[in-house]
Amino acid sequence: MNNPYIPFPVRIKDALVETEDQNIKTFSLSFVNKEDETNFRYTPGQFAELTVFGKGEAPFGMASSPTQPGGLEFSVSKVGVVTSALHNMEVGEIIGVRGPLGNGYPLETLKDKNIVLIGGGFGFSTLRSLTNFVIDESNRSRFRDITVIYGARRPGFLLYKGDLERWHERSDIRLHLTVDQAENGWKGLVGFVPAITKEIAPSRENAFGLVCGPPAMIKYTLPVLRELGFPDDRILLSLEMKMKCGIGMCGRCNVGSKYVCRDGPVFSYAELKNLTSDHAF
Amino acid sequence: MDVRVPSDDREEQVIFGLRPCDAKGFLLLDRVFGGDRPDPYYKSRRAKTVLVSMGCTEPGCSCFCLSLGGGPVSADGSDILLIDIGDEYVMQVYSDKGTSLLEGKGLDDAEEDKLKIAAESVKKAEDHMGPGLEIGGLKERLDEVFDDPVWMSLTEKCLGCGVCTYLCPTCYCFDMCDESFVADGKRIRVWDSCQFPLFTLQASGFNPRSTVKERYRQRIMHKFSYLLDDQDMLGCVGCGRCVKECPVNLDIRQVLTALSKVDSRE
Repeated sequence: MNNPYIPFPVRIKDALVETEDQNIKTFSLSFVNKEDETNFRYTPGQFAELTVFGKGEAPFGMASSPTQPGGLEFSVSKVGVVTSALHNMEVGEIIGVRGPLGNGYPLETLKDKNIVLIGGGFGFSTLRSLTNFVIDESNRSRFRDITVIYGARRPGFLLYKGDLERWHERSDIRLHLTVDQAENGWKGLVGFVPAITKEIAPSRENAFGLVCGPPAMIKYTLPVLRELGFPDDRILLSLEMKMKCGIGMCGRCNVGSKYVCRDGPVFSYAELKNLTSDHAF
Repeated sequence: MDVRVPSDDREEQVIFGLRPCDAKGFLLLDRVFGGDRPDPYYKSRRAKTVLVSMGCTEPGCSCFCLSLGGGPVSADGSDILLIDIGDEYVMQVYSDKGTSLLEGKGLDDAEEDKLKIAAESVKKAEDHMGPGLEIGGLKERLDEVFDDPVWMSLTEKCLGCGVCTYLCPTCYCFDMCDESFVADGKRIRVWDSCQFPLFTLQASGFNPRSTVKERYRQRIMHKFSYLLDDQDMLGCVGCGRCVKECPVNLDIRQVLTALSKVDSRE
């Protein structure tokens, strides 16, 4: 029987410090076994459990895109036992991966649609995955206009600076970067993500709005999208919860009767508003 | 780095003398850990386990299995059920597992008069159940009153000790932890409780169930609403242990009755 609890080994290929406080690193991982690479078929928005052997597991969304073969990327903020241990590991060391888990963004539904991706801070990782997926030359023609709104506290807290520069140079993607506090030389926007979204006012025509970020950002961005006329079933949210098993059994990541790990992490607002929730969206 | 799965050489086992409510609880666990992507550890242990339960001829005052579709001698989940008729037991076999356990043991069919005594004691037990619970329409009602302030007053006295979850035959939530030694370690599964704040505390510091109110509400909603949506089954078998052992006498029957009477009309 297929055992969903067994991690497979991956090697740390690179660990890139993303933020000025050094607390977020993006780990590039390469598969140790060829068959694990073949079996690991994922879509943007899915996640995996990373194991630091002897310390435990924690869930992270894939920050890489399936269009980049050869490895996986995860952005990890140093906050707890597992993540601190991971941050202390060296290139070449082995960790475990269990996944892919969860549903991911509905790529079929997004086909031939305008996509508005709205992310804040650390929550941007799976939107980065999706952006790189849809702008990949093998996929670009299947999707329409791509608008990215991405915010962080300060410029030094924006992740994936290399990607942001590449996206900025492309004409087929509208990139809006914003920070809460500007600093010398900042050329982007200044303001919270919900306010900036309101200002930019992306069109609801044939469009989906995808939101991922801290709870407060989600809470205040939702009414903006609804005001702009995005119907509830075209607002997609990627949720975060404390997780252990990742397969809907351990009982902690539920919103109402849905498990974020098994039924999500991506939900439409139409689905979520019908669930009883401890969150106040 | 070498990851090994512990060998599955566990012997077959009999759980003897569990109550019919406990046996019924297994039916829920079978669904949660079964399904499309079954839990391999649960599945293999379950396959090697025979449930021989003991009917309740003297139900306790906190028992309310009858209101939840069970009963003091309900066969749900049991492979074999015993009913005490004084100096002997009447034994009823309900599954192939039960049949094969008794094969070759030389047991005779029960005589008519003994079956009659058993039936009488069952009737007596059913008549002596503690106060029950009206379950009809309860789920819909709970979904309606989820945001009602009544949860605050209902849960005020809860200590969050979690004893209700540790005694519950259907509470299955678990944690996974690594135990490490010098160059070796184990990943183990341990029972966990939704009544503890760490259960849902996120790494960011945010906790969607930060107070006793949200945690107690989760327990009630999970058992009487969410599991119906998710597994088409209630998460309560009416064993009454949470009623009996709660240090502050928080009675789930009273809580549910109070919730069902909330006037949520604006």
